[in-house]
Order: sequence, then C-alpha cells, then structure tokens
Amino acid sequence: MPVRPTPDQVLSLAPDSAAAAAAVPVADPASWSAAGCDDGAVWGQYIATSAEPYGVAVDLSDDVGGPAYRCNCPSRKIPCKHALGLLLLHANGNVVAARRLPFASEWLQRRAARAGAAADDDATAAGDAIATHDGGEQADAGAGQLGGGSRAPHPGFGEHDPARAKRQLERSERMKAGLRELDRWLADRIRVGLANPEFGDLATWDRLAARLVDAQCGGLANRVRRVATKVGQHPRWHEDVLEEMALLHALAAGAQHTSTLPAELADGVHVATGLTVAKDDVLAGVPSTARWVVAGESRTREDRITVQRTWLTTSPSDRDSAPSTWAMLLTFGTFGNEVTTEFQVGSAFDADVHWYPGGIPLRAIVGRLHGERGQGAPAPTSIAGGLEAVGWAIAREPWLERYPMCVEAVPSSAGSGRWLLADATGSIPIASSFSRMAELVCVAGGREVVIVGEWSTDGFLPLTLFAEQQAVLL
Amino acid sequence: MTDIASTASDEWTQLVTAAVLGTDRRPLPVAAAGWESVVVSPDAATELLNRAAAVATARRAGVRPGAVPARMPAPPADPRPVCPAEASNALARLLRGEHEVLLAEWFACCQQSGHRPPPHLVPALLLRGRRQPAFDIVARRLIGPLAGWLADAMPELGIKVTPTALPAGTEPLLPPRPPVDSGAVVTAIVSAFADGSATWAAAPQLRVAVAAIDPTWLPALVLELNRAQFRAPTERTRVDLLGVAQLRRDIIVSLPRSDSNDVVALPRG
Repeated sequence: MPVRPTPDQVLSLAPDSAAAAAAVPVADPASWSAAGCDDGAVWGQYIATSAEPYGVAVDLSDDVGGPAYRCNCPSRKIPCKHALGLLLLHANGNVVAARRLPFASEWLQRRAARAGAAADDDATAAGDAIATHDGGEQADAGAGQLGGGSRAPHPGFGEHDPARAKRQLERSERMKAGLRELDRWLADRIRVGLANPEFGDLATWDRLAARLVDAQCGGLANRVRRVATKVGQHPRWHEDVLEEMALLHALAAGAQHTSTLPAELADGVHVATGLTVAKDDVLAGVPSTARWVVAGESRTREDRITVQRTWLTTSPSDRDSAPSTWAMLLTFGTFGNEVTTEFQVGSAFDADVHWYPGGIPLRAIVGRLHGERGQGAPAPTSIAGGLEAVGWAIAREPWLERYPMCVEAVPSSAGSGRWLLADATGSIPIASSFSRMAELVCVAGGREVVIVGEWSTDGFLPLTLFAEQQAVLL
Repeated sequence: MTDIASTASDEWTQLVTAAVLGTDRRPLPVAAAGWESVVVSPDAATELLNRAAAVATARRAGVRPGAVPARMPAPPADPRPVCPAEASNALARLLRGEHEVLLAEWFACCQQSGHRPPPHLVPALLLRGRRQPAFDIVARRLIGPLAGWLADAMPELGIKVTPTALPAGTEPLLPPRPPVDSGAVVTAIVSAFADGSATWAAAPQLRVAVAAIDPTWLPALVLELNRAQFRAPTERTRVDLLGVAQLRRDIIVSLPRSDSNDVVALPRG
C-alpha cells in the first residue's frame, strides 16, 4: 500500500515554484466536495472557482514515473495546482477513505487496463502517452523526462550524417583551442609564481573563464571560477590552488591527445571538458538493471543555473554479490526556477540505469522502470571502505570533485566547531559549509547512524540521514 | 625500489615552493625518488604542472581515514517515545511560521500524551528559545535531557545548558484558556463572517479565538466556516481560520491524552 505523502514530498512534485505556491490555497477543505481516497488513489471535486466542478484524481499506485494525475481544468501544467492541492489535502490528513467517485473509478480502471497492455507490448507505451494527452487527461508526468515513453528511435552508430559530423568536428576544434589557451595560461602563472600579487586578481581568472565559455567548455569555466575563490582562503591555500591547477593542466593536456588515451579515460576527459553526450546515445547503451534506492540529493549554484544531483545506489538485497554501485542523476533549474525531481529521497524502485561514458560509472539516466515503487535505505560501508571507493574513483578520474559515500558513523567533535564522522575504522572531517550539524548530532545522539553524503576535498557533506525507517533530509 | 608514499610529501613540498616562487626565478628541483616524469617537458612550468598533477592525484586518491576520536557521551536516556510522524509534521509546519498561534497547544498536547519532540526539530526549538524565555522554558521541559546535552556537546550553537529564568511577571507559554461559553464564541466568529467584519485586519483576534475554543466545538466551527458565503474581503480570513482549525484538530488527534481515550470525534472532508 502506498504511504501517505508528506506535504514536502507533494510540493516537490510541482513542475515549478509557481505551481507549488498556487497549490497551497487550493488545499483548502472548503473548496472540495466528495474528496476521498483509498489504497491506490485520491480523488475529489474542486468546487471553488467555476460553475462546473473540476474532477481531480491522482493515481498513487502508479509504478512508472511517479503518481499520475487527472484534472479537467484548462491548465497545461502537469500536475496542475488542483492535483497538487488535492495531494496536499491528503498529506495534511483531510481526505477520508471512501468509495471511488464514478469519474475516478472509470479513469483508474482505464489506467489499470492500459498498464496491463503496456506490460505486454512495448510499442503501446508511446501511443499511450499520446492517447492520454488527446483524451484531455494529464498523466505520466515523469515518463517524458525519464525517456521511458518518449524515447526517439536511436539513429544507430553506423548511420552517417555529414552535417552533424562537421558540426562536431568544428566544436571539438574550438574546444581544443580553448583548452590550449587554458594550458598556456596555467603555465604562465607558474612561471611568475603564485606569490605574484597579480595572481589573486579575480579579473584575470574571470577573463579566462569567459574565454572557456566561448570555447564551449562551460563546465571547466565554472571550475576555474571555483579555483579563483580558493586563492587566499586560508594560510595554506597555495597547496589547494596548485592541486587544482595541476589537475586542470592534466585535463587540458589530456584533451589534446585523446586519440592516444585508453578509450574510457578519453571518454572521461571529453565529458569533464564539456563535450555533451546525446541522451539517446546514453540510452542506447547496455543498462544496469537493479533495485535502486534514492539515497540523497544535493544542489549547487553554477552561474545562474541550479544543479541538482540525485544519488541512486543499489539496494541492500543486491549487496551480497557486489559492493554498492552509485548513479548520479543531474537535473537543472534555470533563472530562479526550482529544480524538481521525480525521485523522492528514501524511495526505491526497480529500473534500468544507463551510465554516461567515462572512466567510472557515475552520471546516469534512468531508463525503463519495472515493478512497484517502495521505500528503501542504502547499505552503509565503513569509513575506510568508503574512502577506498573514493580513492579508486579518483585514480581513474583525478579531476573528480565529489563522490558519494554511505557510512554508518557517529558524529564527533574535533574542537573549535569542527566536526568529524567516525566509526571503528577511522574518521572523516565534515565540510565546513555544512549548516545542519546540530540536527545531525541530535538525531544521532552519540550513536551510529546511517548517513549518505558527498566526499569532496573540503570534507564530507552529509545529505541524508536514515534513522528508524525514515529518511531525514539535511 | 623506493617507497614512493614516503617521498610523496617531500616532492609535494618542493613543488609547492617552486610554484609559489615561480619557475622564472628558481630552477625546478630534481624530482624525488619515484616521482620522475616519464617524458620530461622542455618547459619548466609545464614540467612542474606535469609532476604536480601526478602527486595531486596520489594525494587525493590516497586519502585515508583520520584517527578515531574520543566518543562523545550519549545523552541521558529518555523513556518517552518520539511523537508520531503526523505530529512531527505539524510541529515542522508550526516552526516554519504556519499558524504559529497553535505552538502552545502542540506543546501542551505533546506533554499530556507523554511523547517527546522529534530530535531533528530539537535544534530549531532551542534556537528559537534563545530570544523567548517563555517559549524556551516550555520547549525544554518537553525536549527533556537532550537540551542540556546538546548545549554541552555543541557550545558553538550558543544555547544555554539551563533555560533562562523568566523575567518577573511573565508566564510560560501556555495554550489559551477555553472561554466559558465556546458556543457563543463560535456564534460570534460565524456572525463576523455574516456581517462582513471578519476582514484580514480582524484575523489575528479571530485566530486566537479559534485557538482557544473548547476543541469539541471545532467540528461545528469548520462546518459553519465551510458554509459561509463567499465574500472577497473576508475570504482570506476564512481560509486562514479553516487552516488553524484543521491543524488544531490534527494536533489533538495525533497526540491524544495518554490518561484517557476520549479523542475528540471530528468529521473529516
């Protein structure tokens, strides 16, 4: 039976922040008539605004891409504010168990029938999405993003498209030129020395970053800006900055010689320097099918874009055979829009995960989902084991900035406001940017707790706490 | 064969020194044993970066756990169970500033039902109490021994180990006493909607009234508010009061008194 969502989970389903904000006033019991729920669905009639009530229903039992929604309002947003409002009403406990309203039961039966048919025949899936749309219903919110229903036919590796090949060649030449310039710039800095007063001048770093953007190496430009902020940060900043410069040099030099590098390393260099890989090419790769647990999510601002990383890890049941593997889903939000994700931390699902090419499997896309969603918690390793995995990953991709870890450890004070996570195998410092230390200490209460977080050179950044079958986002 | 782990730090130190001074001013020192380049670059700066990249990778990949620190003492045992998830969600909403008028009631209900607040909300409660002694004294009674323990364990939070004494003449935060005749108050609230005086300006007073009435009158109030005619000037107040009434009901239902089973029967939907 699906659990009742929390209000936060409901709002995270909103397509944008405006929709989330609009949903809150809709979740007013006075605006609803005949709202009811059972194990698999919620429904109700929204009567507040128009002469004709809107029939709203949400299928919670859905196993492909999150809940499905139905509402006959004219909004094009999926889910619309009425569906969200109904879910909020449900989340706040204002919907009682009842018999399904005729429109809801009819819709749910049609969905169930289609789900059965889709399981038999792949091809109906795409048609299904179209048919649902034409029927004036809003369903399968996640399917488009997941690539499950809307996967375009893959052109195939053998197919030749001269225009595309030419564009790619041009782009790759531009990137190479940009990287040569980066390398020259780095060598020039080393020649005059890091102690040179001009070294800390942010404008020179910014100019370099801008030229990298022109060369379509956007990822590296952001990285250069991050290095610039480390200049003068603490008395031993020279070490941090030299480390970063050396790794940037390795990337820039490597990119000039990708044809002589091992294939996986060359792919890693390409991705790190900013060469984009088409989603269809990733989806055409061989997937890894397993039960995945959504272990945590973190957000950073890069330029004006919010980048959200959602970390998936294999479920404990698969652990006996192999150590946990990780997959990172990236989602982006631009211009102040909230990033939304269809994967709630603490949930688990069976799915095909396709990794992007590279030295280590990390960034990935979720392909087809199988079976039911449920709850799950990741399997922890020891701190020594987690760091060993980090070391393994860095040895393959030295420019890696973060790597996930799941440990069962106890927070311990290192004095003067610094904190560590410790278990029997050792300790790891917590990043100074972590702001919810008091919550972590309180929940742990001096005992070991399961914590998912990201390792980075600044320390460990805790993201999620799994305690008593519940995931607490930090 | 030389142990390259032992020479790594020497190599790193001399590379950092060379980089700080600049290769124009000082020739690049000879590589430490085990760290010689396979292909030496003719340019000193590039050669320095090449060698630094190798050591940097080794330093990052070779990260090892630190020493096991002394274990912090566990907080004193608290036999009370953590409050149910619904109550914990309600508290999170209250602490976010939603229907704050009900905070006192949440505390009272939690106290009576013999639960304690969820640990992940304890820091928020204590931090809020720093400036409100009346709030602090009640919150700490509810939090129990965890409060003093956290204050000891994390001095950087600036939380006192014992609550600040209440200034003379102030009462600890208690839920409002129910009026003598709650029915009359409900009637008054409803008539304020009927005559249009329940504007947003009047909302704070009405909110306090809804938070104070005998909870057995809540269903009647919800029913009447749902029936109230739509009027633009009073609509916002109506929605707000319904929210207060609903959340209050949720709090009472999710934290029943431990000494009696008389949970207020309330219609839903």
